[in-house]
Amino acid sequence: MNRTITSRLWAIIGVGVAVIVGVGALLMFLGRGPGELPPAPPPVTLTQADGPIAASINGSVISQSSWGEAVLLDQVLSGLAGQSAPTPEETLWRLIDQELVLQSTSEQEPTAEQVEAQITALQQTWGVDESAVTAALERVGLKRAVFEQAVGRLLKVQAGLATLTNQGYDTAAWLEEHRGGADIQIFEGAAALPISTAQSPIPTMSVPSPPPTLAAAKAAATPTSAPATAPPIPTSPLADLEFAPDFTLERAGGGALTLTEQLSEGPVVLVFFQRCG
Amino acid sequence: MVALAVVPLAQVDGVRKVTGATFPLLADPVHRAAEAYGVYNLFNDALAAPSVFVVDTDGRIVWSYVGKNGGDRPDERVILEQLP
Repeated sequence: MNRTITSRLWAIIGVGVAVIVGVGALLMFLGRGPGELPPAPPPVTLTQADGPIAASINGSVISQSSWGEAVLLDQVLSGLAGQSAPTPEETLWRLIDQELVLQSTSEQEPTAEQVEAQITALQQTWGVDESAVTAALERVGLKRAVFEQAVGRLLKVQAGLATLTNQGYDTAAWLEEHRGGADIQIFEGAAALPISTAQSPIPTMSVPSPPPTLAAAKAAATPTSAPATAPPIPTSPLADLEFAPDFTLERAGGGALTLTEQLSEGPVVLVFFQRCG
Repeated sequence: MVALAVVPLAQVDGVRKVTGATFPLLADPVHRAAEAYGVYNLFNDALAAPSVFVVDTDGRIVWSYVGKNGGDRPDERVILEQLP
């Protein structure tokens, strides 16, 4: 089985349903050449997102809050499935891929019974019961309704992929074509700051950067005496870490925190967590 | 103390609700701060390495520790001893 196709399927479907669709869906990806592309979807008016926007796809938006929910859900489902969780970036690109499929197909909403049947099938595959799923969701503050909505969306995407396959498309090639032709923008915070454009090749799910040197961090590990006069705090990422680079980030519970403002109240211990939740 | 993680805000908020943490929990989803402090993606995992920076009121980093793996963290008492 083609490894690229397998990973592409995971990218579109996500961990939960990928486990259950298994061989059947993978077969849909095999042996098909790219057919004539369907007509472009009608222009979509930018919908009003509930809060800051994470990405927009041909005008449809994915809010940061829904992205965050998807990341949490991926972590929960990955844990239940015994898989490693995707990175937040991978989750965002999966949502974008799903949106591209949904924009180009018009599948019916799955019924509540279909969603529940899918959830039951997932639980059987994972070897867990309903209470274990509920507990795992509650641990990260998610309600079961979020899980149900995600499964419903995945079923709809799955149906859309099946339709494309029946129309003769190689869904992997179809997705590549549509990613290239779509107006996809990823936003940094609430500000429109596209970091990916329609002209870009398919972005990798995760963009690992070379590990930065730790020399500067180690050099700063030795306590030093405070200067007589307060120097300006550098804001450049290229700071040698003698002084703490300033930043402003959104704070859980509302508002934002700026390091320099926090320092006016006293020393600060910055703790970077590798994982959260 | 200020905690940061390379995750979306909603995820950090979920942790805040679960843990009841009262200190600031910050979301660094595009890893701007993690990169500025040189701790992003050290383990090729697109996350921040567990690390601690003690910053005095002049903005000077007076002590820091960057974990060598995901579970490598300094003891709380060690951190407290570094406070200016």
